[in-house]
Amino acid sequence: MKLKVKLLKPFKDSVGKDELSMDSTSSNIEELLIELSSEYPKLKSQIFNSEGKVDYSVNVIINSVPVVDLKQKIKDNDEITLFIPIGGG
Amino acid sequence: MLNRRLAVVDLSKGKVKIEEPSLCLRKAFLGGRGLNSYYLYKLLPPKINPLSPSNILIIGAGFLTGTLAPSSSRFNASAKSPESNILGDSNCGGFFAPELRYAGFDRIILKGKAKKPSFMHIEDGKIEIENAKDYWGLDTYEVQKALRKDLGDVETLCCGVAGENLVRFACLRTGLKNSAGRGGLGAVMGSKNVKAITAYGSKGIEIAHPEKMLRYVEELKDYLTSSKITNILGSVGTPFLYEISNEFGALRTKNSQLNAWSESLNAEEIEKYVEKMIACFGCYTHCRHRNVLNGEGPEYTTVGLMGANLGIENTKNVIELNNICNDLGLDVASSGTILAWAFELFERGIIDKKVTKGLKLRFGDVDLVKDLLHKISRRDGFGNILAESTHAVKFFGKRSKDYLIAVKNLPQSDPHDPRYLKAFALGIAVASRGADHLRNRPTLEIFFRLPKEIREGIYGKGISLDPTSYDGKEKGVYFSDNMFAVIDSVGICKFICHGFNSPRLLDYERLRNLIYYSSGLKFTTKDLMEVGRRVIDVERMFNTREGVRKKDDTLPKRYFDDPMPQKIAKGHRIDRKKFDGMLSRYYRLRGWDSDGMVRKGRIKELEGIA
Repeated sequence: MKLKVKLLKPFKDSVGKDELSMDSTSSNIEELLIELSSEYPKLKSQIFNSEGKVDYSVNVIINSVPVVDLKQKIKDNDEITLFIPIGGG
Repeated sequence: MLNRRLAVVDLSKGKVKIEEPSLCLRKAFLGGRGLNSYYLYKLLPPKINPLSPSNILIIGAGFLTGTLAPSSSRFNASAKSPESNILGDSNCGGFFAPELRYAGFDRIILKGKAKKPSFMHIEDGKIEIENAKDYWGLDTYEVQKALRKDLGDVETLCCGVAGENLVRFACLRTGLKNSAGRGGLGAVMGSKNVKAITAYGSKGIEIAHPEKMLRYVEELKDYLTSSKITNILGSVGTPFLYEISNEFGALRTKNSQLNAWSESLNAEEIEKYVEKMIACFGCYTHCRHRNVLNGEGPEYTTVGLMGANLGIENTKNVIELNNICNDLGLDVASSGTILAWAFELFERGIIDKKVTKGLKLRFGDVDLVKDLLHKISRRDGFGNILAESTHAVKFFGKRSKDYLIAVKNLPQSDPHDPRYLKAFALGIAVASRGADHLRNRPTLEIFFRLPKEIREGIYGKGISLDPTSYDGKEKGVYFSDNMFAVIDSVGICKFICHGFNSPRLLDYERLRNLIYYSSGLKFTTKDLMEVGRRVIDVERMFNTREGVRKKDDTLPKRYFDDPMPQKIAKGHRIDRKKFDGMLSRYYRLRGWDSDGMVRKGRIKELEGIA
């Protein structure tokens, strides 16, 4: 399955790119985050908390719609964005 | 800890009176913003001209300012605002307020007007009013350098040329970076013929339980520096927020005609101009970035409002505009909002060259913006009209108001277009100084995956998880209003405040520990929440005495009528009826009546505190 993954700070610094075009075997968001962390190990501490769960500070958007449930399915040609939600400054 | 005093400086008579605020007052309002708002309500008669000698200017340090408490650099400057004609209050960091406390004072109230340009020097319990003829006319950084050269290692709070010339959005400045930016308090200082206040102190602050305080602050240091949020802010500062807002399409662009702009202003582009990251007094976050163009910043607000909102893409140009505003002493939020408003009015033909004194206004013209900023600061030509801020409606015509991005005559503070996140919209509608995000923004609304139990534990039950819903959103604003009033009253930076960017960090429990270890005063969590409620009520009483009613707790017309045109936020706008329901529920939470008035019994109770 082909996916486009857009990375905002600080994720893009860890990957060294702000966009990835990838062939993924993941079926949902959680699996995709595990797949990304395995390919880019620096992402692991940014995405997962000390209990090994996806930290609630990781925000995901699929095709312009915010993701609430990490089990949300992904499909071919989805555009996914990852960012940390800071909203005041 | 509790022996810092209040000085009332009567500039007209050249006299200084020193007082001890009662313990009862300190317990009720703590300090900083809380006590400032109390004094403003008590001391100012209604309906005065804010630029007349009848206004007062209060500089008040927070309860914990200057102690070991983390990020305790803050003070509030308060007066009746010449920009909004209601509460004018602005919170500021840096190094000035700790120095003021080391010099023996918590709070300075300036009243009347000096006969000639003056500055005040405060040193170890003494206050002198000095001649400022050698400093009048200097930019904000130049004057601070000159005062240090003449007086030694002082910290300075000053106004710029804009303040001297009574620009309604002139700010107060300290150091190369920090501003008490909002509401035109620089103009109030200028209207009193005062250029600056300098402070030097050699007195420490006595701590009630020093060993416990030390141990506790060490614990907090580890806790705060482990936060993902503070680490990000410490690596790139607030420009980080630009990309997020832009990705959503929540970025005020060209006077909110658009809602997304160029990636050329992303944090990594700003970083190319960063010399180093530095901190305010006692801060572990160090979000400040010194730029290689002889200034500091830009913050997200400047990137958005001097960049996207003015149609400027070039990174270096935006940093130059940031530095110009800071040197002249102009609030960047009002500058970017008022200029964008004028540009759209010109493009629509609502104003013409007769009004602009021959200038052709257009978005994206950096030289025009630079020229106008200088003209505004000197009230030169068309700059004299723009210097009136929202009051320029009287020159631009009634129709111009439909395009003005302001609430209660205060231009919106931040670059976030709140048509998507409905709680943010309610926040700027009810904020006690007008359209501003730093009074009550419930930022956890954009944590889309925040577990329900954490969200409800902070904001209360019944708040919708959908950020675009109106359901229960008044609860987030109510919580944030109270919490931020307390953090502003203790003098700690919002970047480590519970509920501002993070569901963790310094909550009421940690704050009451810091208060107890430093002063020996015991507060419960409920006591602290009550301080927040009191501050919000007193500020509301000030505003309603000036005529504010429910009709004023509203939003710019565009936010109701025009759907957002771009990106994720496309199609979103604010529904008037649903907004009204949210507002009424907010009033009920606060215990105000249906017109947004504080009830008589509560007014009597708060007026009785002395």
